[in-house]
Amino acid sequence: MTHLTQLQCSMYADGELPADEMKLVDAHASDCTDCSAQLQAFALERQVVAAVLQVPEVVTVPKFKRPARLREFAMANIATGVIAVLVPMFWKLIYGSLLDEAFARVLSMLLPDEYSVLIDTLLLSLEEGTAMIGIYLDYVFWIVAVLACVWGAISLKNRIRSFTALASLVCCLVLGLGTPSEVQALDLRKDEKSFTVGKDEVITDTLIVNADSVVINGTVDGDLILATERLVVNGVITGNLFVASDSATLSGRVDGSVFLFGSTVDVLGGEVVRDLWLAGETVTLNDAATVGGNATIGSERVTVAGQIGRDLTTFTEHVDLAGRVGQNFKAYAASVALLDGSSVAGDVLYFVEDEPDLEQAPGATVGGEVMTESFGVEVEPNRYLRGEFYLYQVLRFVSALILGMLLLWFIPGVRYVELEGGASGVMTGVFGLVAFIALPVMTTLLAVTVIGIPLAAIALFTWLSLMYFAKIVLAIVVGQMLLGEPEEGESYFKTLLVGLAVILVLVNLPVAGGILNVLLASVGAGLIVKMLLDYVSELSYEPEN
Amino acid sequence: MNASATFDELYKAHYVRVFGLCRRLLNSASLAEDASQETFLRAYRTFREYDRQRPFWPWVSTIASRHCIDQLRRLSHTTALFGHESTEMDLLESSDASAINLVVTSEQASNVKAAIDQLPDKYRVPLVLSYFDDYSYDQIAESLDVTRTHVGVLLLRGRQQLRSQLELLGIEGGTS
Repeated sequence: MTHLTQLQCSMYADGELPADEMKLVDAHASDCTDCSAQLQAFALERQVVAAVLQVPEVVTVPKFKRPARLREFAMANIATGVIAVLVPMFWKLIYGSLLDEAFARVLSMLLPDEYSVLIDTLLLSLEEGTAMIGIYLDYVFWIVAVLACVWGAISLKNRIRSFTALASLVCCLVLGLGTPSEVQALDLRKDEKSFTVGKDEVITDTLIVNADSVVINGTVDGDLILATERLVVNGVITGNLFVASDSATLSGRVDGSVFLFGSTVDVLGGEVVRDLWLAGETVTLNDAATVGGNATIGSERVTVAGQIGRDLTTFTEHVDLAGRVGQNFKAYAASVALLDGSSVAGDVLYFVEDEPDLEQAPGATVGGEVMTESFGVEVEPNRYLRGEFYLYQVLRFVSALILGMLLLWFIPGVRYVELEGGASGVMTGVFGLVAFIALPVMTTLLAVTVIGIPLAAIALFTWLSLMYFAKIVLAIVVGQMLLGEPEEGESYFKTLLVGLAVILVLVNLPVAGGILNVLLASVGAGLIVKMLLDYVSELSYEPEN
Repeated sequence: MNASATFDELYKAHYVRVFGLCRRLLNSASLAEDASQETFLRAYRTFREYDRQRPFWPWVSTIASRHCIDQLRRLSHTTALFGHESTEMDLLESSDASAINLVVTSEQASNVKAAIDQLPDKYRVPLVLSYFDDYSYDQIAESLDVTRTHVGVLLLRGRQQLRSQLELLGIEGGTS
């Protein structure tokens, strides 16, 4: 027999040669010392390699991640469902009713009456925004549910985790069917000629219609947004009504507010549960018309014979009041007639440009006073003589001081804001001015689209905050200019106090104060914008040692 | 003891060894970590099929090696991961490098280990299955889907490459 091959030796060492071949190898090895040594070397080699391989790895035993079991999976599904239902509910409860009201109260206390239109607009955006976010949350829930269903179906098809997948599908279906749907989809109608909601018809969406003539005899369970030539509402709208229409007749009920622009507007026995905002050439509210909240009407000629729950405000040539006003009646008009049978529970405030023309019939009752004031009269020179002015300024100063200290505490970066001289200083002002102009423009653009309303509310809020904080930030800079930078660890109280005092005096200067106010606010806003830009580009101001 | 607690015990007792097998088969610690988790996950799912009278290691190591070989096939994007028998046979040169024959000190052990890590998949995998896991040629042939002779050839080629690797490192084996 020739010498053993390497393959034979290797297989022999591994104990894998067939029995007959093994015998032959044994026989040869007993005669051949070379091959015998070779076999031994192979056996030893096997031992060495095996010994090396057997050296245990040094590794920590991680926690075994059990696959999710049916019960856990079902629980997770149910929990997701419950959260998805509860979150919008709590959102509506906490934000929609509590915060909204608190916000309204605080705003009405802080801001003088002249801003009431602004407050109302802001609150309406917030309210609409809340409803929109509620709808978004519902959508998110549905998207999650649909995705879970798709995942379940795919897993079932691939036969992976088939039991859990089936359970997931069932859970989603049960939750989906069991959850009362609060989803309000948008319903868009673009009919050429006429659009009618029949007497027994109920539309459970926010309805947007664009047609020549629109007649609502049935119910719209949501907001109604329309642009039309002729609108007749005999039915019920549970949300708000936004209308641009040549002629509009309102005989039905609107549970929300009405915003109406048209040339001829007649509210004939209609009921508006909340506020009424009307702008038209001729506006008539007949004796059966009722408005639960405020009515604000801008028109050439206004006749109000119905009942207004709170304030009535008119901007018009001539106004005839024959109905009842729950609170005050503010009339910006050339002539006002309080007819027989009319009653105003509060005051009548008559603002007139030149000659007052107020006619009060003997049968007309006014609970409060009747005051006539000419508008366009300079109030400015008087304000420095009134105690309220100084009280208001002190309040303003203290609140700015508190907010300024809070600002310094929350955003320490404010301390390192610097106003540069020369061209870059001017640029800062321009930046601020652009921010002041751009934000309201953006807000208006956003608010035009229904979906943009919540974003518009955020933008408006940002704008108001920017306006307010701009001067505080500037005060910090001015204070540092005058007193020098406080030592490390030293309070900024004195700096802020001095800065705010200087700014407050500047903006209250006669005549120049107004311009200075805009200028200073722009520079301050520019500083904020610059700070934000620096922060974004990670070049935020570092404290100097 | 219920099934869940039993499984936890077995997991703790065998994790390091399963990890070791995966680490040697896949030649990567991070891949081995994932593979070990996957192995135990599969074992957990089919735990009912496991006969508790029999030792756990052969059962779980079969799952691990199967998974690792699948992984290697997937990563290499080729079906003939272990070459062709005739080609490999031709490569069997009469290597003049002598068989490894040394007293395994810890330093040398790490050298040998490094040399094993250097081996291509096709030689390392059968070597690990045979020397680490004590698989027979038939079992390896079945796992790798090759013939029995092919297994023998791959193992010998593995030994030869290991020898040349060690020679490069200056570790002399000696024929005795």
